Amino acid sequence: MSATGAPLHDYEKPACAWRIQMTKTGPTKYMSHLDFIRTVERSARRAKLPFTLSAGFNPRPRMSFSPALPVGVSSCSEFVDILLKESVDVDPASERLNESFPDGMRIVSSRILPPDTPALSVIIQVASYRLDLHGKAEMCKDTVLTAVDAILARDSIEVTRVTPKGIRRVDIRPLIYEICVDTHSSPISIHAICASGSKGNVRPFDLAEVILESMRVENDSVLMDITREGLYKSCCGKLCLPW
Amino acid sequence: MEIDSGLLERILMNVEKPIRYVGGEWNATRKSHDDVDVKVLLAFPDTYEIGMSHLGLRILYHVLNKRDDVVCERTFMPWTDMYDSMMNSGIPLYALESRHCARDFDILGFSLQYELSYTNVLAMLDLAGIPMLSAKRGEDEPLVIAGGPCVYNPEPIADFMDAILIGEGEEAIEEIVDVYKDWKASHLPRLELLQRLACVPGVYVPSFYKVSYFANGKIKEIKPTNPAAPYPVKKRVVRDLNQVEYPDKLVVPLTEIVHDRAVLEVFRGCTRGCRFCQAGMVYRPVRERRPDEALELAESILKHTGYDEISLMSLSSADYSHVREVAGELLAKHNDQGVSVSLPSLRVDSFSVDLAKEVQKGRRTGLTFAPEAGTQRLRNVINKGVTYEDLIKAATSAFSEGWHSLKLYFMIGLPTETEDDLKGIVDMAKETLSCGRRELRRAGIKKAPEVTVSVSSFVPKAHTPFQWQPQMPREELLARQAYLKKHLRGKGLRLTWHDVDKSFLEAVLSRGSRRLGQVIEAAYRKGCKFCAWDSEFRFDKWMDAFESANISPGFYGNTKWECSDILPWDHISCGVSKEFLIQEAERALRGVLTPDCRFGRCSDCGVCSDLEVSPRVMSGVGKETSE
Repeated sequence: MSATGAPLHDYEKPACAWRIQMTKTGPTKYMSHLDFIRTVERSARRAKLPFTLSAGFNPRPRMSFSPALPVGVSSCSEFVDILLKESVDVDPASERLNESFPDGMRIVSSRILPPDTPALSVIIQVASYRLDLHGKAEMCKDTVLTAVDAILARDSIEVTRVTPKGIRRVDIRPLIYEICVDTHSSPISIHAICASGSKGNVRPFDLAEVILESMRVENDSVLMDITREGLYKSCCGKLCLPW
Repeated sequence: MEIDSGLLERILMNVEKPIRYVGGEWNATRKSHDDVDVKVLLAFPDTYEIGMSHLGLRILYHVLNKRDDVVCERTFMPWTDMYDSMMNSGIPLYALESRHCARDFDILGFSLQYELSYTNVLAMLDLAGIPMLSAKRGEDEPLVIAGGPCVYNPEPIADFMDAILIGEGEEAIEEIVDVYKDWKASHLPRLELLQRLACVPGVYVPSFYKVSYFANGKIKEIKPTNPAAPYPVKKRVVRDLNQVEYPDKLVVPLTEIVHDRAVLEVFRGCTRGCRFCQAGMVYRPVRERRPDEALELAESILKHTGYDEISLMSLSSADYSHVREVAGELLAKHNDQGVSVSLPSLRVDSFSVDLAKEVQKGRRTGLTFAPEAGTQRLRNVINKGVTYEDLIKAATSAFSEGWHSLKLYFMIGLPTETEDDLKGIVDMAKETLSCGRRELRRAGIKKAPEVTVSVSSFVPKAHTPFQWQPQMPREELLARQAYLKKHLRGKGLRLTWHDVDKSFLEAVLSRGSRRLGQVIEAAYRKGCKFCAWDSEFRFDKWMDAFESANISPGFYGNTKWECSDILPWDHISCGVSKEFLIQEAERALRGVLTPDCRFGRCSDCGVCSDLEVSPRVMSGVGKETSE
């Protein structure tokens, strides 16, 4: 038997939204999106943040999150909105929350926004990824450069999506805005900017697969460490952080 | 040595739920191995999600890491995909916290919660590169120990363990560590360590006992072969729960586990005395936590974990003298933060339903009752002090309060069971359902009631009054399941049952002697792992293993043993005397009830006098009665 006390039929009115930009690295990169949500909730409880609760018999802290990160991809720029009953001083609140986060989760920056701020899931449209090439890292820079050029030269790149409704082919080429290679870094890293969110989405593992395919290497001989470096909204054709 | 993290990262990308293998949880303890004297690795032979849900592991982790001279870490059985990847890429079993190999630890301690996890113990030792057989371990190998409810019959796994702790661990584990520390400093041989350990109360060193057999497989004699070895080995028991450590900084996993909530143990033991129930015998006597202590701990646990649910845990939570007060106060204090309270294991009575209603207020999840048997005659045989009226009253109360789904637990194959008793199960389920229809209609609730009947098969367990009883033959159990499947049909009725082959193997291992060690090893070598999981259980391979060892499983599973027989676990004492068990077995056949000593008179089971303990039941706030 499991139970909650008096049902909250109305959720509490928030005074503000605290929008947090945070990392998800180290062990926490293996958390699923649901794990991540639960862990942020528990951290907020440990930090005694004045969050508002949702309605219903099983009230939960009201929070919303940027688009889900696949399991195994690190991020240095996840966004979370926590709806608060009262405004907080950002610095001490960040310190408290950081102290309550497990290793790998850390606040980068944060702002207090009005409670009716448009949701992250609506405004975020673009993501940038860094793909670090480990393994046969001695592979020559030219191979990588040629592979990336070949990708950019293509008109269409079809990938397979398995959805509950069946298998679907999606052309992700129009959703890839930019790919460049940092040949000075070690290991070699590839930076990509592409669509992310409800209006079109390139999955980082699709990106990795397309690159490996173009390099003509076996999937298991190269290890790609993928990091989401940024999430953006687009304002007047420019990429801005979703503040 | 630490494992190759790069290699690990690579295989983690290709396994299911990699989060189980990386540690990094909130409240996990990190200590440098160079700064401590003794390194302990707690090993749970099932998945992370199951192992982390286990309270004993969390208690020991806390107790050991409180000490500056000890580091305690955790490891779990990797799921089959991860296990294969680790074997193939040469990554040995490692500790989640430091990623040190299991072999680097001084003590490897296994938690044995169910018999079907035994092959996983061997799989973990094998993956660790530690010889599976105690006799084959060298001077520098880790000390491999075990504890948990299974060790009340330690014999099937005796060959694999250097030492086994019988009973409650929070005090004994510290003594074991102390002995280890002194021994390590002494540079004496391993035999000396084992001899010193055998002197710690509760510690059983299997290699110090010789078992001889009659030609028919029965035991002729169990004889200590070392002067340090006690006979019998008496279980360890904590006298007062309020006086021992309890973890408030529970490790909070980064992923969802089976029991994903804060846990507070409100009492230990149960003296209701159900005659099939091992927990009800081996965890005696009842020891309650003081309510003020419980509330203080609950506060601290919630604060340090951030959990939004706390479970007041015990073998029967409604039996806690202060359950209403503690649950009520917790809700009053934390409900506005969305924190809920849960009470596992409720009794079949309206008090429990009222309690559920109070604690749960609005939300309706299912309620579960365990009448265990279908007729009053059989319930008297098993000493389940529940009547038909109790069930109907409880069900009426539950349905009228708005629950629409009830689950009823029964056992089939109990000693003396006849078709009448099966019919009784059907009748009780149907009557509960029609009671539901009536009450829901009366309450004006449109929803149709649902009754789920969950049926397990009787497994005879060591140290219970039914330890001499056979499990019914497979065909008979199947026929009884078929009867229920045939008769428990219709709208609103659901039936779930346990795999008969698994229950049979459980019975065999529960009553097994030391001879089964070779069978378990053979089963592991044939690929048996995760035997408690339906998807992984391979009965055919187990039968092959019995055959190759030339051992008949039926001797252990399906044979009635005599009270005069020497039992495989006769050298292990949980404090409950054999005389009491024999007397209970006789009363069972006569259908005579034995009352709970908390409320009635002492039933003279032997625990209190033998182990110098007494029941601790709290009366007023902060007061207690102890006889």
